[in-house]
Amino acid sequence: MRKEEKVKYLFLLPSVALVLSFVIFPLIYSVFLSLTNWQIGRELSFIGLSNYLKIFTDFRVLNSLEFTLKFIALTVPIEAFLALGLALLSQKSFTGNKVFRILCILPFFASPIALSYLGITIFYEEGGPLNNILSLIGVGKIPWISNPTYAFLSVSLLDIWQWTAFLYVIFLAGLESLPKDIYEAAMVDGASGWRLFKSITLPLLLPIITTGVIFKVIESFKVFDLIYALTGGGPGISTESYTMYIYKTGLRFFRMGYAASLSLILLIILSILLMLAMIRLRRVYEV
Amino acid sequence: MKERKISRRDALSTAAKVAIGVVAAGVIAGIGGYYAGSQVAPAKTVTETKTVTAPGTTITVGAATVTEKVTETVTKTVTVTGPLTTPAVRFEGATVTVACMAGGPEGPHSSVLYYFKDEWEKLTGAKLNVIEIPFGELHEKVLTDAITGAGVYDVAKICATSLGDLVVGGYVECIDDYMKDPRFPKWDPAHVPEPVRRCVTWGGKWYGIPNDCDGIYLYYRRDLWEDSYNREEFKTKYGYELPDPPKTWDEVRDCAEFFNGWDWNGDGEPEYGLCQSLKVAAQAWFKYLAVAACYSVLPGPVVDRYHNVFHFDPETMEPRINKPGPIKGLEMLIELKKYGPEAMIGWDIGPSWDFFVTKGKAALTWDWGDIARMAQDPKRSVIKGKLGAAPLPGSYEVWDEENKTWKRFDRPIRCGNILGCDWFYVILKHSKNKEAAYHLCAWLSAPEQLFKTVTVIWGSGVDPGWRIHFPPEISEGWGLGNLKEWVTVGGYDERDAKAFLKAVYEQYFKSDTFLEYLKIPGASELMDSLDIHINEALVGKRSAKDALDACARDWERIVEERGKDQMKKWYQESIGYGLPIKIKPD
Amino acid sequence: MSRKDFSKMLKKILIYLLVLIASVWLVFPLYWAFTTSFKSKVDVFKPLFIPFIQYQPTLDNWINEITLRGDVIMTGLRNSLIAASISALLCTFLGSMAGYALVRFRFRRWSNKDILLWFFSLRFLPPIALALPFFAIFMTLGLIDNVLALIISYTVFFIPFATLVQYDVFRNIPVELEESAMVDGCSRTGAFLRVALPLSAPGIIASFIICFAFAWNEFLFALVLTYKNSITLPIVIAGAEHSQGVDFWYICTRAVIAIMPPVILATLVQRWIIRGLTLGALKR
Repeated sequence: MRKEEKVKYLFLLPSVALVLSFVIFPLIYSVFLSLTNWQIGRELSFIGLSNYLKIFTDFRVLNSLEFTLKFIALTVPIEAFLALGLALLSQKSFTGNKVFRILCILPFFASPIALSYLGITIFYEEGGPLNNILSLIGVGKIPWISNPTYAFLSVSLLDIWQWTAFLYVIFLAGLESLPKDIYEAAMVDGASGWRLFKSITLPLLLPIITTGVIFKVIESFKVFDLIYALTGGGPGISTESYTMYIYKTGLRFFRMGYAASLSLILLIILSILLMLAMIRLRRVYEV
Repeated sequence: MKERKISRRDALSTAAKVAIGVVAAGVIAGIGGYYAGSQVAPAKTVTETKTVTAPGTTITVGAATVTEKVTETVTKTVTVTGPLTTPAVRFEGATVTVACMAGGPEGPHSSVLYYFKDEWEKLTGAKLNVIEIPFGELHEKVLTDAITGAGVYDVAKICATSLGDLVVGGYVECIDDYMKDPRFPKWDPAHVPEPVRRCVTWGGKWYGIPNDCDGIYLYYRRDLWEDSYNREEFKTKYGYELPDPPKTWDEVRDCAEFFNGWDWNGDGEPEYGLCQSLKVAAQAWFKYLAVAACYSVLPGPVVDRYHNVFHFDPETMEPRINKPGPIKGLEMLIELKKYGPEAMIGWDIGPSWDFFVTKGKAALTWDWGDIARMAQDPKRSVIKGKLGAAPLPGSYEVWDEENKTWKRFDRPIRCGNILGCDWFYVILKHSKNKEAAYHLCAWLSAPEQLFKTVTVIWGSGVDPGWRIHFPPEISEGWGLGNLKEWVTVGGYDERDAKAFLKAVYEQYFKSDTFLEYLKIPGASELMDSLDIHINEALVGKRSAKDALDACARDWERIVEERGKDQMKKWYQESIGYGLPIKIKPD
Repeated sequence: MSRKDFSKMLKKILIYLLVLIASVWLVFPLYWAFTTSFKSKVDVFKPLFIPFIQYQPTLDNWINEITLRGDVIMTGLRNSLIAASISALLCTFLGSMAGYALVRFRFRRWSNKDILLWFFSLRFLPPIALALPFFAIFMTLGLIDNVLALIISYTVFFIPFATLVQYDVFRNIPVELEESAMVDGCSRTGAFLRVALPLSAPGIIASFIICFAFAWNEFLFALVLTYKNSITLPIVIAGAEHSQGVDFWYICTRAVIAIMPPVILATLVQRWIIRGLTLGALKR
């Protein structure tokens, strides 16, 4: 038993040590920076928590958080649903199944930067492919980028296209790793199709679905590359994400102190959200 | 300090060697067939050494055709042709690392470096290392390199917005002394337009070696203007002659309205009056400032509190972005927007240029000098030979903040300006090869190289503006350029070239005032704020006045956060407060 | 045809229909990038779908890319491959160990749940907050403009994915199999390497794919930590925008180039998934 106890550290320590050694200094540095008002050409001076107080009155923070939350509410459920559907579809046998699986994974490898630029040509309103098809079927030209509502939709569309693949990979791994004997037993008992799915597959998959969704929500808070080239955060600031604002503050305006505090606020928000989620989902993880 | 003394002695002895070398070479050249090398028009030497090629092909400069301009201690420019002899100063073994925009061997700004790399390396014995940075991230990379002390870049070709951060942080070298040093290639500061000079200087001192002259000009379809049917119809409808070119924004509005919504090019679809790139986080604020400047900047002999300033009150740092002048500008922009495609709000320059030049579906636009270049490319343009150009329109009325009223003039007052980045070279203080670095930048901005840059190097992205670029016929005899060069070597249509160069000349040298380019630390943040508020007004979310009021409040907050006194001091330094302005050349 | 056969056929048709629709959806942007890379510059903003019929394709863009930017693209490709594959391997390996530990062992100092949450929380910080500090760290280590800096950074960032995916996968592997192996004389580590790990093949594949893809597309740190020698493909792609606008045609060529290695990777990996499945046929 004692040997067991030693071994468990061997398994866990490399990851933890690697991460800690590289992350601990930047984290402390960020906290330190967030309490200052460091900018170029200026002496570093401590201003305590005033950066954090400023955040509450910064309309761009509120605006970007609102956008991010709306964005998550729209994209994550659709992506989870589509990813699950694709994963189940991939399990069926049909010719071209292998190619289909590769297609399902591909979007995740597409460079978000290239995708965002590509989106400019695809969503081009005066004669891009999308509006062309829409005109042919009678819907007409949609202002994909010049209208705030549609800009939100076009950004969401890009995200759904790309990140469904992320969830697909995770869900597929889950499906493939389900113990087959339970299925065999159930089918002997006469269960099939929808019932099989509802009472056996879904509950077994729930942990990995949850993991995937949690990851996606976290990543959605950090969406940036996908949006930046396509809309620039516009029209106005209607599609400016929280991370885009942090990026501008930190690396465009070089207000490093404020940017650090914005980052740490995100850390706090997400920690609270995860805590709340864990309370509800503890059963799922059975830890 | 010791370094300086040695270098002066060195300079004297090298100058003596040079003088002997020059005389010898001159004799040889004279025997061998004398080229017009002793004239003060360096452009002519370019003609001699040039092989005429079709636009778009790469031209390699062989050793035999390299011209070298050598400056003696006597300020007379002598050009030497033929194989290189001992140059004035060499930097054996040094490597100069230049950070520039990513564009490759044929893209904007980087192509210039690649084109001249071999020539310069042979000239000085140093090595040129070009590091390309994606356009959107240039500012961050250069600043990060300087702040963290990594010190990889020796030279950076930056946008004027970045200068404030770099100067104030102490990251760039002041080049006043280098400019006076006779060992280095000479570029004449008096040959650059005033706005360019303002961009590269800070508090009266020079920090940047100017290169590009990035301005916005009015472009219109000359073929439409020359059509007598259109002229008659316009006169009937509006009661005055179709203005060629439009001289005020009201006239632009009328022209845009006139040409909007009907098929004037026979392709079966209605065309538009104008097109523009109004996307947020892209070019919208440049294009707005182009319109708003003439209503807001009062001309005067000196840069004082109420004349020749735009953004802030230099004494109090009160934002002036929500004064009646800028508001009228924004209202005009909103009005103009009606005569272009609705999608414009989401257009960066790509789709907008495509619309005007490649599709030819807009009658006018106002945009960078690159349009004139793009219009000459038969692979991308349907408007070659149809390009009309003019300096940005002006206004009969300019807001006078001192007397809180509109001041009326009897002719349109034009606000010429540099609005673009005005890409120029700076030498970073942490560089270990400052002299080699300065040599490179000065050499690149010397007349022959600069002329080649705007004509031969098809994708250079560098716009004309120096005295060397203008043919005398469109610049009242002042220019030192050659129209034939622009046509044969640059591949321009002759009428297009004339129209374009005349527009550039008038904009820089015959305007009444100019719009100062905001370079103070925090400029990115201020312009970002302006950008999003303009966008709100353009999509109709707010009225022009509300949008600019919100912008002004934002600017106040930004100034407060960065330290009002500090910002005021920097603002005054950056605009050359108290110094006279000189627009017209001697 | 019996009723059962008819409904079976209907199901088959339905499946193929869904697969078709899904495929069109999945392929379209990539198809668009591919065809646009063969369009001349004037055709980029036109709704032209089919080459030869609707527009005349040209090799100009590709030729330009190869002759003018070939070396830069090769550098980016090489560095991206090195950084992404090595960091993904490290992530998968270390993450598998960590995930396994969290399933099989009980930790006392911090509960397993807390450690799990800690791994999740690593993804909270926006990259921008770490950019300059990381630069400072690697500058001290002398690794600026070195692929090693990217490998380390990506491993640090993406380990949580591997850890948590493997955690979920290991939980579905019955512990009896390992116990029987240990009864036969295997050590704990041996049981892990010889029994549990191979059975977690789908998870390994998934972890590797995810970590590889994240590293492959990562932009901010590649930008901050590299200058010239270790630039990656996303930087090369971003370099298609300059002061005269975006070279959409080069975006397309580079997007196609950037998707090629992952396509090859995915094709190779496919075989492993199938193999993993047949190997992992579990019978209690």
